[in-house]
Amino acid sequence: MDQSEYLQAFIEETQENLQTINENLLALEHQPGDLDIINTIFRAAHTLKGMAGAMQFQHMAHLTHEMESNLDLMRAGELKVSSDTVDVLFEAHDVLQSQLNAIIETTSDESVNLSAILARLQTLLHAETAATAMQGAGRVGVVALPSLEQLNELGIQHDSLYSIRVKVDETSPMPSVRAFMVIKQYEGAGEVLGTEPEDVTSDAFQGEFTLLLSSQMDGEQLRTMGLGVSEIASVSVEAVRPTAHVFAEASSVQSEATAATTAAKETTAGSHQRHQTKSVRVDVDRLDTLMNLYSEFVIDKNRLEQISRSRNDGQLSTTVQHLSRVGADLQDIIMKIRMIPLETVFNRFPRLVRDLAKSLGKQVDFEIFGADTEIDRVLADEIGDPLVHILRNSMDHGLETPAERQQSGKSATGTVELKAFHAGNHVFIEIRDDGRGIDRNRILQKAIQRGLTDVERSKTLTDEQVYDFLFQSGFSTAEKVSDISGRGVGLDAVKSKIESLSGDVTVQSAVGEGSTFLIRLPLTVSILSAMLVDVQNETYCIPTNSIEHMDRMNTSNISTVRGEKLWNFRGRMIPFVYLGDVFEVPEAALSSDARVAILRKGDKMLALAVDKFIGQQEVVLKSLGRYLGGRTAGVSGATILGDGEVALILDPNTFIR
Amino acid sequence: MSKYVVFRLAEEQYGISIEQVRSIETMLPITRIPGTERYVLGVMNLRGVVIPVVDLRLRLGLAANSLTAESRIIVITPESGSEVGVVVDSAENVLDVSDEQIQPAGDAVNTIACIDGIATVDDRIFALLDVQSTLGVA
Repeated sequence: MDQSEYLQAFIEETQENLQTINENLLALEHQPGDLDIINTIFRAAHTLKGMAGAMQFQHMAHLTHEMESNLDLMRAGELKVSSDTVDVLFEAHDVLQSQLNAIIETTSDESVNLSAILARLQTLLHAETAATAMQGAGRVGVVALPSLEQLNELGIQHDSLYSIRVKVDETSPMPSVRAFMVIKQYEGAGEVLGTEPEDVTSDAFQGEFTLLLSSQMDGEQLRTMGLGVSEIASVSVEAVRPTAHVFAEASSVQSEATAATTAAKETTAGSHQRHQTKSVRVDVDRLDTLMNLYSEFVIDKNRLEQISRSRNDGQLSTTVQHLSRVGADLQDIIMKIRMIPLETVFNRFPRLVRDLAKSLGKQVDFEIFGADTEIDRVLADEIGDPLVHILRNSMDHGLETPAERQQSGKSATGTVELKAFHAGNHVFIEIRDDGRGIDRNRILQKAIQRGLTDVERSKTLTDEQVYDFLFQSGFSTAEKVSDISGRGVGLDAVKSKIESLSGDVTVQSAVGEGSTFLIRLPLTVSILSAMLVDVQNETYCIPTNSIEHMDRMNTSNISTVRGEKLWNFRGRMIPFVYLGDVFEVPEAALSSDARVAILRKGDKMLALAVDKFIGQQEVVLKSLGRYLGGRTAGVSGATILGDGEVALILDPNTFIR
Repeated sequence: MSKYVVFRLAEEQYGISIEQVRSIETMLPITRIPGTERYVLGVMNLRGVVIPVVDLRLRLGLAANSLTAESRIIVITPESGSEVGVVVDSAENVLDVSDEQIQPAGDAVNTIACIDGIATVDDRIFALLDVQSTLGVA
């Protein structure tokens, strides 16, 4: 393993630790008194410090060290957890993230300026602790008392609790060894719940420490036991009572933190009870290679099936059938390996929503459901931006300000839900807010203004059709352009992105009650079922999920209106085109022997004529390469056929308008 | 000293830095892509990867030429995922070119092509073509 491989591992693990810090800071803001959360953050920061140090990223190590100091005081209850302190820690997290980004790009963390954040952390450290310094003076050596609940969990509620102060003889050459031996002794007498300082074996150990012990023995016995270790100067034992709760201040802090409360219930719950499954890290490039190899395999398998059909050889066809079954299982496994939980996309949203809530002066409870829903990695990479856009939209235009909400009789705090689930061969992602909703009439007015529809037609439109105008280019009902959503890209960009992933997006809304965006995505975009068609010896693939019906050419079914051909499909007149014309296939001509595929997208339909239907096949979607990006209208990608030739895959969305 | 793949286009010789070349292939079946520029011949299957193919003659505004047994596809690779195949009349060989053998390009050269300079090696004269910039894939 060379340095760069260490670096890769460092980057991945740091990414995870930063994520842990981020998630738990959000949770901490909501539950300021939760010692578990503070400890989790502390551990993540501590691990980060250690790794950064080992990798010689001194700036990062320095910053995490300062964070640790603050967190340490929080653990001891000497630094109050408030919206302000959490803000500073969030800032520190962000700086660490920029350091990591710098490391990824330049393998150095030195380009990121630390002075501002270090100063902020220092100020916090001094300002906050000054107030507690008075009481704090006598507190050195006090071990935080556990709560009754914690003791119950340990199953030792019937024991007595003792705080034991031990002083090692000043002349002892190795005080920490003596201290260690004392602790060992007491471990035999009961349960050692903690020591202060925590680590008596460190060089900083001053020869004096306090130990919290739960034991059934009495105080005098314990004192004698401690003095039994050589080179111990004094032992004082004091019986103490467990506290009912860890921080008396916790309840008062709670109210402060609700100013911009964002709950991340799902994420915290998830991090506490994450399943421990055996797993290995795999470079995504290797997964792509595996996928490429598998697609080669599929091509040969298809070829063999063709040969076996033409040979009429029993042994050959049995073998090929078995091969096909193994191939299908293999495909299943490969697809599963490529699936990742949506959590990897969702995990940045609680922070995003929190920051938006703060800057917009809104109060929101943000909840995530189904973050463990799995989706193809390619889709996960692409779906983040559209989701961010919809979330911004919900926060900015959907949710009202606290005052507005109270006026209309709602609670001041709004709710935004992000929900993911599987259904059939699709993944659904729902973003729901309980905000002001979308005014159907305002959309209609605007649509008429923009000439997207007219007064007459608008009367017959369904709700779905009306809301669909929102996704049209340049359509925005926001009164003023805001910093949040007014970035020039509208919902039309969201829609086209989702459609490029073979998905769709719809919106439902009720005025005063809120809006729901529903995104539907295929489980995978890598392998799809397609109908192979022929046009003058060119082969194209039409995804079968967009084919509604297949028919023969019948000229009596076609009528011409204003130069446009229309096909009569079960009494409904739909546009009719010949693929040879659309793709300008040389020497192609529509014959009376043609075949017609009826394509559907939502409630829009199209009759597409081709020369021949060749047959249905599983095809592996391949990109056309970056060079052609965006220049290929009507084609979403390509696949390699059994004979090794490349066939283009049609994008039905661009045909059906 | 750098190595260049020397190829022929019409009556002229050009060189591409070997750094830009991934492989040289004999002609493979090419699938036409509707609605693209004329110089984009289509896509081909190069060992399981779909790669766009460009006719360099047409790209440089030269007269079209029918393919021969000599025709080659030079696969250039700025970075993974954006390989492009370039059809040339023939690929001759790989030559070492030292800095002293390169002169700046004059005005007489084709305006579409990005020429880094003119190389003279022994009695052969050829233009050093920056294919990536010429195709706009750098």
